[in-house]
Amino acid sequence: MSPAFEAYLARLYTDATERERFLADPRGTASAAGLPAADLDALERIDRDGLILAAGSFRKKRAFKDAHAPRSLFARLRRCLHAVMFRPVAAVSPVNDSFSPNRS
Amino acid sequence: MSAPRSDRFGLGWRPALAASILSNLDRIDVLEVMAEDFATPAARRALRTLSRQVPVVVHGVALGLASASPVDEKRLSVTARAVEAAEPDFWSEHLAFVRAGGTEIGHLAAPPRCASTIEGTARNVARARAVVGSAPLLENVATLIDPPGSDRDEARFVTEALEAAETDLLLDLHNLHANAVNFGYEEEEFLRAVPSERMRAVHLAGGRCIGVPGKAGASRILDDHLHDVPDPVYALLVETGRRFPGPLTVILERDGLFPPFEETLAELARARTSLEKGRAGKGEAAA
Repeated sequence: MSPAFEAYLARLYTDATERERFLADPRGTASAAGLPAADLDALERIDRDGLILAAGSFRKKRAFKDAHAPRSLFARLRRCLHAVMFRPVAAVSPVNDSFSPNRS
Repeated sequence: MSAPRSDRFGLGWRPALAASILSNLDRIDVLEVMAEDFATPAARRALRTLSRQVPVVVHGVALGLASASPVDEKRLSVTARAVEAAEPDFWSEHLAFVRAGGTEIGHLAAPPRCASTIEGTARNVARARAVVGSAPLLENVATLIDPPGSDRDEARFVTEALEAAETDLLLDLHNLHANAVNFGYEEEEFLRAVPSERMRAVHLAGGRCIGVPGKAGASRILDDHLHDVPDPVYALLVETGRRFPGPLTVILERDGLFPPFEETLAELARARTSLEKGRAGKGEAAA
């Protein structure tokens, strides 16, 4: 498979809107991304349950990393202010379904 | 880098465990550190200090070597510096891609198991060998999705990737167990396919079942590193000891919901017993 195929998979794993469109019409949506026929055939056979589970797991992983990423003092202050003024910071609970902090 | 001459048992280094680990080095043969944690000179000085107290191996999660795209040179440089500081027996990375087309996935994604991924892996490992000074062991990854674009099973893919990259295997037994359960194959078929001479290291971890949305009763195993090593994984370690006679470095990974440290050490002791039973040709280790 090509770098373009990997790039489309990365998009499916991370872009909820694209994923919803894809699940409604796999071949049509992937075709619009300019993928060749062999890639479209592979995507048409995709493990749909797995795609939904994997995308959820990756989303929580990104959220966890974002919440724990080293930040500048300004960024930390801005984050605290946002949490106080608007809503709780989107905490990721370790007991959330499909959450995994695993590092390897 | 030199190969260890006997089996070793150790833990993944995590800041939350640091004090407990350092207080129990007489029961821990080796530590595994994450390459990405040692991006700064100060962190590498600390790593040098640690590696003078206990053997250290280096593990990476960010290179994305199993990809048709070239490995990121800056990340490779960070890995090289960590390896230089730790002076490990080996370093390791995953048979995964983690970014593509400018998108960061956020974690290890199982790549399409096909010829072009194997070719890309070989190219990336060759580049890693040139920059770091040695090739990484490659680790099988857990996946919740049957990787799209695959034309071969996992055992064949891993074996061919190791051959093409001319490197050895870090076999994660929980990843193997999770994939076998999730996608319906026998773990032992995988163990039979792995070339014995390429087995160097083992990861142990735990996970849990998660439900498939909208499908009552359907579930898959998530490799979350938040739970104890389950019995089937110890059974696989026994089988690993039976099948692979060379010295193995066995690392227990835990990334959160840490139990009392004595329980972690008990898991490590059970791992030791399990591998020894396999070496002796005995049956499954009891809990």
